[in-house]
This record gives sequence, C-alpha cells and structure tokens, in this order.
Amino acid sequence: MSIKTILRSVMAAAIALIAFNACEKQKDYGKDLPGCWELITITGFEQRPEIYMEFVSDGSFILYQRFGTNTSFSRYEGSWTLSGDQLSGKYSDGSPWGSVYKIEISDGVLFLSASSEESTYRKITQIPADIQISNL
Amino acid sequence: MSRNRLTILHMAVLPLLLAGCNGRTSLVEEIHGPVPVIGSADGADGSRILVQTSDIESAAEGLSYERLFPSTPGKEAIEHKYGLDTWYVVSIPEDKDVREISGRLSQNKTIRSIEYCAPLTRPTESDKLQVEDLALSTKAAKEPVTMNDPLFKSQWFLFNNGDKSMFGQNCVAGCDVNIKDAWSLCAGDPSIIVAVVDEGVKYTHPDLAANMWTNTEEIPDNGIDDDGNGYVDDIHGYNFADDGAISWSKSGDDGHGTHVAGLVAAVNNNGTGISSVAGGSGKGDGVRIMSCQIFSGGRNDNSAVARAIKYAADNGASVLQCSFGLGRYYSDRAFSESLSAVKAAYDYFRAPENANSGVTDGNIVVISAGNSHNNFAEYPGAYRDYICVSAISQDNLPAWYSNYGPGVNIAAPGGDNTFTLTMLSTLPSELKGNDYGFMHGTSQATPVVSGIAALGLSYAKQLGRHFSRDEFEAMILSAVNPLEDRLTGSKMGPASSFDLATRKGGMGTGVIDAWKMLMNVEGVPFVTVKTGSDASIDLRPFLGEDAAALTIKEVSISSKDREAIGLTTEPAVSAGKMSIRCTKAGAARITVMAVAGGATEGTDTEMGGKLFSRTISIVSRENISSNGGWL
Repeated sequence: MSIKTILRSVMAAAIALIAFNACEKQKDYGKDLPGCWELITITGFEQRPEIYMEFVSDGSFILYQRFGTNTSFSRYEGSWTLSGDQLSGKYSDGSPWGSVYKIEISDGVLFLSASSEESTYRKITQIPADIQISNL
Repeated sequence: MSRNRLTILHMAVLPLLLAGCNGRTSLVEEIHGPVPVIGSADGADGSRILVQTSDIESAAEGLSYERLFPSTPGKEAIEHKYGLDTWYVVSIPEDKDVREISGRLSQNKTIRSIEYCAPLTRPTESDKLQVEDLALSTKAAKEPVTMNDPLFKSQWFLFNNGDKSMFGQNCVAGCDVNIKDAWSLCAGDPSIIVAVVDEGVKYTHPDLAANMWTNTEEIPDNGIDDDGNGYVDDIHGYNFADDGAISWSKSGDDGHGTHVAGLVAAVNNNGTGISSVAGGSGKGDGVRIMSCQIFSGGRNDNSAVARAIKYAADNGASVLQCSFGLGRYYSDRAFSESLSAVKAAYDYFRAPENANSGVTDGNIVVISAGNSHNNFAEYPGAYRDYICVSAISQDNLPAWYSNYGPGVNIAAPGGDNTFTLTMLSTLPSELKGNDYGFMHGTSQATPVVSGIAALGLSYAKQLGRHFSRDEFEAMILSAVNPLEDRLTGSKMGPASSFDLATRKGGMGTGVIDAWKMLMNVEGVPFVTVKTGSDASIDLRPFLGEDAAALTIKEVSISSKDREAIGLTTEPAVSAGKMSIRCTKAGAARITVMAVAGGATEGTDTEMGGKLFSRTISIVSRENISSNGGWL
C-alpha cells in the first residue's frame, strides 16, 4: 500500500469521524428531554438525594427534591432552554440554575454533567403521586 | 455508726445545711433515724403519709395502707421498673400524731423514704392573679378570622393585628403564635390527648364538651371501676384531690383548669365562644382534653399530683399540661429528693414504654415557670427534663410577673394585667356567671405551648412522621420568634418599672410559634454549600430566631460523614452562624447542641437550661443555585 493510499484512508476516516461527531452534536435532545426523570447516580454522593424532575415541551419544568427520610419534598418550578447539548434554565423566582449542564440522552437515561459532577437520571412515566400530594 | 447510716445521714443533713446557708427551705423536717422524713408536718394532711418500701408489711407496723399508684392491668412491669409499686399511703390513726408516727417509722430500715402529704402552692397564688370579668370590646379586628368563633378577635395571642384600640396602646402587631398559618396545615387530631393537671375541667362546657377525652371502657355513674384502672366512673378524667368525681365550682376554685383547657383545645369553628390552639377545624378533629384534677376548692397535696400524672400516662395522654408549682427548690436534686413520688410519676409519664402518641418515643411534659418575677423558675418546671414556660404580653416583651433565669426554657403569650385584654378562654359559668373570661400568668402561657406541642404531634401523625422524644422537644424549643434583641430599656409593671436587660438570656430560646413548629415537623430543609469554598450557614432555621444568643455546647459530625464531604477543619459556630468548608461533593449530617435558657445546662446541683440538639443536613456540590434548587 502506497503512502498516498494510506493518507487517503486516514483522511477518509477523519472525515467520517468528523461527520459522525457533527451528526451527534446535531442530535435534537429537545424531543427526548420532555418527560419525567428520577436521579439514579451522582458523583460524590454515597446516599443519593431523591430528585424528580418533569421537563415539559413548552419549556417549563417542575422539580421535587428531598434529602433524608424525615423531611418533606421541596418543590421548585421554572423554565429550561436547550442549545445544542447545553441545558440551562432558571427558577420561577428568577434564580438561575447552579450551572449550565452538558446533556446526553441514551436508552431512556439522561446524563447531565457540569464541572466534575456527573449525574444520571432514568425516565419514569410520572412523578409518584404521593410526592406531588405531599406538596399541595 | 455503720458506713451506710453515715452516708444516709450525710445525704439528709447536707441539703439542710445548704438550705441554711442561703436561707432557703429545708428538705428535711426531722431526722429520727436512718430514714429522713421529707417535707413539713405543718399544714400537711395529718391522716396519712407517703412511704416508699419494698416490704410494706414490715414497714407499716400494723397500720393500714394502700398503694399510692393503683396498678394498671398490663402495666405491672413498667410500674415496677420506675418504682411505682413501692409507694404506699399509710393511714395515721385518729388518736395518733402524724409527726410521732413518721418519727417511729423513720427507724424502720425496710423503708426507703417517708413524705408528708403536704399542701401545694400554685404559682398564681403568690401574686393573686385575678380572674377578670368579661368585658369584650365590640370592635372587630381588622383582619378576617379563619375560624368562625365570635370571640377569636379578642384572642390577641392567636392573632394580633396591632389594633391598639382593642389590645392596648403598646400592643405589637404579629405578637401572637402565628396560628392562622398553622391551621392551614393542621388544627388537631382527636387521637392526641393533653392531660390538664389542674383544677377540674368543666367537661360540660359548650366550647369544651366535644373535645373532652372520653374513657369508652368506663360506664358512667354506675359506681363501678368497669375498666379496672383503679378509678370509678372516670369518664373524662378523675378528681385526685377528692378521690371522686371531677368538680370545678367548689368554694375556693377559680376556674383555672377550665381556663387552661380552653387555651389548649376549646372547640374551633363551632360558631361559639373562643378559638384555641389545637381545637380542630370544627369537624371533630381537635385534640382531646383529659381532666386530671389535683386542686379542689383550694385543697391539694403531692399524692394527688403523683397519682394524676400516672393516670395520664396509663390512659393515653401524650402531653402533660402542668400550670402549677410544687414549692421552691433550688436544685434538681433537692426537688427529686423532696418530692420523690411525684418525680417517679413524671419519669413514668416520660418513659418510652408509655409513649402514647405513636409519633414520639416518649411523652412531653410542659410546666409553668411561675409568677413571682423571680430570677429563677419554680419546680417542677425548672427540672431539666421538662419544658418550662415563661410569659410575654402583647407588647412582645416579658410579662412583669413572669419568672425568668435558670430553669426557664421557652416563652409564650401569657398576658399582662396592665393591658386592656389578657388571655381569653373558657370558664365555668357557675363561678362568675359567664362561660368565658380573662386570666393571665405563666399558667396561661404554658397551655399555649402544650397546645402547640399537641398540634405538632397531630401534624406529625398526619404526615406519618416519627421522632424521638428528645428530637420533638428540640423542635418545640427551636420553633420560636426572637425576643433577645428587644430586651433593652425598661417596661412598666403595675406598680413600678423594671429593667428589661435583666431578662436577657432568661426567658428561654424565644417566643413559641405554631407555624414554625409545623415546619419543624415537616423537616428542616437541607443546606447546600459550594464544594471547595468557605460557607457560612445561618442556624436560625435550626435553633430558632434567637440562635445568636444561645450557648452552643457541642458541634458533632460522624467520621463517615466527615469523610463524605471532605471536612478537613472543624465546623465553627459563632453568633448564630456555622462556618464550614467542604472539600468534596457529598452529603453529611452535623448535630448542634445548645442550651435552652441561660448559659449553662441544669445539673443535679445547679439550676440551668435544658440541652437540645438539632441535626443539619449539609449537601456539598460544585454547582449550586442561590435558592437551593437541585439544578
């Protein structure tokens, strides 16, 4: 195999890789994100907090969170924006999220990462009714 | 003299000497033999004495006797554990002198303790706080009321809109227990029972009857102890002072028990009379009142108190409401040794085996601090196990009469007779021709706290929450609004002014707030801190609004939790804030222990505050939002 052939192959592979990555970046998570999600792992936490989120396609979200068993869930709501794979948002009181998250969704699992923190959420059909009722 | 006898004599003489040094009441009446005789024969019931022994046959020396605490079926083991099966009432023959018999029995080595059946004093008596005639303003409060009880507008301690024409020139809007907000979550639960240890409660009162506890195992008025609990016809409680039916309008009664009961749980939203802290929403959901009568026509003694407390424990009460004092003692040990039957009954009431609410692992005792404007609380309230309540008035300042200082744990509205209105509640109409009237005192502040404790238990039941007794008491002590910053300058009493600075650190953790109590039941939210940065955590949500004024005894975190958040330096608490630096993302729990009331905790020998602990959940993350939201 000549050097020219080898270079041609390498170039073709590089172009294919770039093209593949470009396709990945263009993946529309805006269609996959709406729905309900439950936190299943997060780096650094031995005992994960209870986090339930519902992203609505109109750009709003509802969040329920609880740490420890003998407390109530706290409810937050606000709006989200997706730009490519960058998910950002703000709460209804005007507070911005703590970070802009890099998002990835695959096989019903949502990956969010920011700085060195990585968290995964599984898709659920709905937020458990008892959690919502406790926050009425 | 044997070593044992010497020790016992020392134990007996030492308090006497200590008492002599500071001019205070002596514990020991006479020392005839190895057994000290506690109390004074002067004014005591000459027909009987209390004797503690494990061998009553030998101890009684032929005298007739009965158990002080009737045994309750199924409770025998617990009674034994707390020594209640060793207390007896020994009858004194008519031709004998109680002092002579006590002296003789004190030689009997089978006896552990002898107490006179001594009359008790109510804290109100020293100041002779009067029941005032009902003279209500017809003006409506500026804010709408939540309940439809017509007299609610005059109950400033429940809702104070600052209407000076109604509540007095110096009243302060918001000086109340924030009950309207609390009621939006919970107004009571009929399974929660508050024992009112006091004068008899008028259980037929139109604004109380529906919220009276009823002993369904007893058939009324048949003269038989149907349920075998040792008391005949105890339908809504029992009259331990007279050993019979509950009464409320004998000569010498002033309606104190009925007034206290109304503050806890008069029926809400029934279109009648007053509202109350935990009286429900008008749907039969108020907490229940058990009348444990220890005063009757001014008559009472320590044996009645002891029996009443045990009865409350055995019959389902989870809050013991005690607006009385049992004399002046100056240390926990002096109280315990002087009134050991009463102390045993309190221990029994708080015991985990007798936890009645299904929420906590022990029952809650709430007691008044006393009305002698002394710089120490009266006993039993001052004892470190119980929640001891001081009083404020509608100017959001200490009431002139309220005791303060060592032994006091928390403040609550108790009224003040220098104002137009004091504390409006239910009264027996037989006394002054009216079903309602005003009183003031720490006696009135105490049922406000008891009611809020009962409301907290009700809400916990509603949410399915469980707490240790200590946790729940800490939640009460930290459910407070601030008081310390206002203790400057002077305030007028009925005769002269007093320096408010003298009350600093002496009124307890702050002024009780019902909404904050229910928020504590819901659970204090976690605190999020940024990993790798210095953080300052405001402790007010955990220790109450006066957190900066509290003495912090200890900050603790387990080694596992320390590792979880990468804590390399100890958390430090100062001026109501905790400084912390987490080097790792993770979650941990940090416990802060503080003193409720004063700078030092009470011990056997020194009066002081009550230790309480709150646990703070810390979440360390790199990415945190300013409002605590997860994203």
